Amino acid sequence: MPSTPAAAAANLREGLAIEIKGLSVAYGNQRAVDSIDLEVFCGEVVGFLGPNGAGKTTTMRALLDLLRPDAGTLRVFGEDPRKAGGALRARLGFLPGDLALFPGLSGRQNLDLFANLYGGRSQARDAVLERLGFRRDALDWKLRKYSTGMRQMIGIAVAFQHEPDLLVLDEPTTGLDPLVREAFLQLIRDRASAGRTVLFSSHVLAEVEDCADRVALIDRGRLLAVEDMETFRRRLPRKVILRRANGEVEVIPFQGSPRDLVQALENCGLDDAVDVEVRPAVLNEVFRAIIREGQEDSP
Amino acid sequence: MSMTLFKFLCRRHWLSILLAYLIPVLIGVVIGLLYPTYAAQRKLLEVFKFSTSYFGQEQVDLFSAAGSFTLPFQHPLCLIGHAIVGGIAALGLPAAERGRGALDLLLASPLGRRQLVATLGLFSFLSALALGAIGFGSAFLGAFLSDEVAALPIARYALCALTSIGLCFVLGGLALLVSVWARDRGQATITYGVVVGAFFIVDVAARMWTKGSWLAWYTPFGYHRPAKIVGQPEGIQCGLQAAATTLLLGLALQTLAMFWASRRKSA
Repeated sequence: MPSTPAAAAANLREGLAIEIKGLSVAYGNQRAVDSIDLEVFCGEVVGFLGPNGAGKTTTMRALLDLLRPDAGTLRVFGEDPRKAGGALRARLGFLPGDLALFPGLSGRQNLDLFANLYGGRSQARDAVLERLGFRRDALDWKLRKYSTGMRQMIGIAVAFQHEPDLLVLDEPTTGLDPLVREAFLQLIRDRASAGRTVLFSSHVLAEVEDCADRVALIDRGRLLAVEDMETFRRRLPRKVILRRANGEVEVIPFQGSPRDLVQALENCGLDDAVDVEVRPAVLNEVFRAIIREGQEDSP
Repeated sequence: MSMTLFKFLCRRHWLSILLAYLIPVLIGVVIGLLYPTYAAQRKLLEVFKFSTSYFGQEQVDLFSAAGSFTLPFQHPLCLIGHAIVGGIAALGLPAAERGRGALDLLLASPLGRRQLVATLGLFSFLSALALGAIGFGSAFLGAFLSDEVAALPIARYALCALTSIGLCFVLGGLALLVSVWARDRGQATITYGVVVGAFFIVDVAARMWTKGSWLAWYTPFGYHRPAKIVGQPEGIQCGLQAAATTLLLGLALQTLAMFWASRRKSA
């Protein structure tokens, strides 16, 4: 057994946490996921980015054996999730996109139910709720009295409370206010630094940029790209808004490193500039750019 | 089996199941209180011939103590109670939670698909067992209230309880099978209601229409015949066969539900 937290984290970082090869899932005639290959290494945070209906949820459900694929193979920590059984699932934490807990139970009872299903309570639950700023007295309210954000916080605590080695989170920030969202993203970063693996889906680019090591882009069931964050950032089509003293506003499309940005601004001339604003990339523009690049690359 | 899920099911359904358990108790108490005046009402009741043939007047004298206390087992309200006790937990999980979305969260935990169905099967069996015991207790409670305990044949009444358990277990298996198949609570409840309703109508026809008594073999209700068990010499053998048949059928349905759940594409 590893003697220190650092050694334990190093142990967890060895090997592949997720290995997906040729995954295809269809709902009737509709292909939801089409021949996806994806590898997630232990200790990594991977953002699964795509618009609604891209196939993120389908892929995640298949990983947890909630959905059986039509083709392809899946391995989680080297095991087939369909055959591995409860021992493997005990190492996973899951937050579904359309979270439904039990409204007739209190927040605490919901948490206890899932803690017991995973084999008992741990200290992590209180710490997670505290970091998210969840009101302690609200734990004993019936869940039906909760706001959307409070329900989501309980869902997050359900996923985190048994300290899983792999977290699969489907649009986890839905309904969270900006402060809680920031606390949650920090929680993910901390999990990763403790050697845990996180795969989370989102259609909010900034969230993925904030805490992912790599990003997997999916659209219409096809995986468009899997890249580390640095490479990905360089590809982001951003807009620079340059306001000049005479009231003129110039929009400069920009893609590349910060050095490239400085160069682009210098080329435009900054002498009479009164304001420079870099607009964040918008997801659908990212997808358009990547699809365009793919078309240009293909013969 | 999952003890956590079992406790959750108990907590979730205790009130509905308790209300269903009260039906035979109330019928037992009412008959116990009315029984001393039964003889005087005999002529009046014979006017409603259909009800006496429904309850099996040809098999057992319904105006005797042994005959009248079969009602906590076979009154139509009790049969509806069997359908409720058998079906309530199974319709709530997996079908209702599949529709709501909580099933994914449950099945992502170490609780697997088979374990979930097996736990529901156990819950259904224990609920059925309690219903049989309550029916038995209700008959004796009624007999006690009218001071007729000595007139009840204990072994035959115990056999009535056993066929009652079998019936409830079959209905539980049926509900589980429907629930594994259905996409949500609405679809599961309607399907279960229609199937159980059809079985019930067939059973009523088999009871009332002498030439159509063979229909009873095609409905699980037909294997629960307290009047025959109590009133006929071959009642014990028939009751044992019926109980064995329904318990095995219930087990087969539960197994089929488990197999189906593990084969489903989407949990």
